[in-house]
Amino acid sequence: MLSWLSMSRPISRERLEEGVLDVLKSVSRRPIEPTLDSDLAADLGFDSLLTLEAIAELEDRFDLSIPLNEVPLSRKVSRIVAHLEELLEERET
Amino acid sequence: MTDAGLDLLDKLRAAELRQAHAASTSDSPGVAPGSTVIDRVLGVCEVEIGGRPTLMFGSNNYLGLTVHPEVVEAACDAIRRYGTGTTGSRAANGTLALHEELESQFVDWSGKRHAIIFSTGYQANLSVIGALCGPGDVILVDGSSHASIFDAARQTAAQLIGFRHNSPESLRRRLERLPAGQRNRLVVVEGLHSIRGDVAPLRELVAVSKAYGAYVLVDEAHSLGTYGLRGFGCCEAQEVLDEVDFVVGTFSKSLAGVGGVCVSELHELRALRVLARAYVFTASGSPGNVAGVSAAVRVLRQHPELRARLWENLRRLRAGLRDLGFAIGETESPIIPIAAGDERHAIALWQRLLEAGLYVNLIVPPGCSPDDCVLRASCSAAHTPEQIARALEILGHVGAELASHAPFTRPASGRCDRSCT
Repeated sequence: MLSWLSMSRPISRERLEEGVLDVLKSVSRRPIEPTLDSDLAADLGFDSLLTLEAIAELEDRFDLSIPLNEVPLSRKVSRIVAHLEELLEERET
Repeated sequence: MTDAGLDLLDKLRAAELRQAHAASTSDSPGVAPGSTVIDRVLGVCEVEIGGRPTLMFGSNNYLGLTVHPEVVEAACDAIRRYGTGTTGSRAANGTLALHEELESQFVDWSGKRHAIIFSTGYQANLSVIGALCGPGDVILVDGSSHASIFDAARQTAAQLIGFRHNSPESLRRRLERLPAGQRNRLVVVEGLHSIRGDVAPLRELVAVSKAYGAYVLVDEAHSLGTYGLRGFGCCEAQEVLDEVDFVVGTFSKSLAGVGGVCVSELHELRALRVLARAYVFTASGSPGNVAGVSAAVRVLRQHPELRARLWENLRRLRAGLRDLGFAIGETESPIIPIAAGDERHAIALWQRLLEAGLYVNLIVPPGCSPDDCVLRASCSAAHTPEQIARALEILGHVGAELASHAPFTRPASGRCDRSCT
């Protein structure tokens, strides 16, 4: 399995986006082609259960904790990527 | 409609539309899910629905104590002596000697130093988690936890982190990310899952939690009365009761009433009586209810054969379901999730079973994945062999009738979500 993240260097925005899209595809129960503009619920069919699974998978993939009460209300993929970027920056500092 | 919503009522309208759609696409126009009305209670495990005698295999009356003569008489006697309600908070005029007596019983039963009872199990979680955690704290919650646990965690300003269901490794990875040397974290798990019917590996979960300085709360809603040598739940059964900081239970399952309890060895638990909003700002348990639960605790402790009978019954039911070819949950427990395919098929199956005289619980989205719906059957010590045989007969007949739509070959994961994210 590819290692998506090295603890010793920050992850690029591009790698982060690739990782998020990959996780969404792997977690989804049906084939999807997510983009940054996709909405988790409206476009990708993610219900709350699947969203929780995606969060758990993203946590393991990027080795960070994503507090459930801080998950963006907007479920656009781009917003999720931005949130992960903030969390990763917090971890680096 | 935007994320913020142009009209408060849009959310309610959307929910009604979903319900109407589900009803319109149902294969059989029977009772709408969520609309079951029980007209009469014919016996502890039999009710009347729509004029039909119906076997009840969907309650949480695990020991059948709702109609036990001692429990009923205690409740009636308390109503005659104290009236029908306290009309007040525990912090004001709502503490009767009955409340303190029940708390003493829990101290004795659990072996812990302190016990506080609450008006509902939901409020027990709101109170304990709400009082314990605040800004800067971290709550780590099993991802499949009950809605009351998620609601309790969300009401605080603490960080809420989910870990994979019953996974000590998933918990460990999340604890490891937290700053070392601090104790401002609470791990919350359930002993027996209310839908999946599986049991938490408490020894491992507690060990991991303690290694990272976390307090542990175990919600034994469905396991109080059904597990353990003296019936005090999964913590007792797995010999970790001494290490668990807070055990929360509910009165609305084995204890045949309404309410909740928290027991702890920690003196600090007493502060909940002034800190917990869901304890202070609500009416206390009614006299009849509290006295009934008190009697139920006595009966449960004096009659361990009730638990033995429960386990005998659930084994018989599980074996029968397997013989019929149903895919059921792997764990042997009083809760038996039965795979029911997609939502449309699950609703049809549930309705046909009801028409044939058997009630089980229907679990459909958003409570589970769309293709992973479940019929949740539960067993009671009060079920007779004849009732179990009749239930299996109905399940076999209806299952065969609808078998062309779903072969029931996939194991029932019983995965469900009450997180309301």
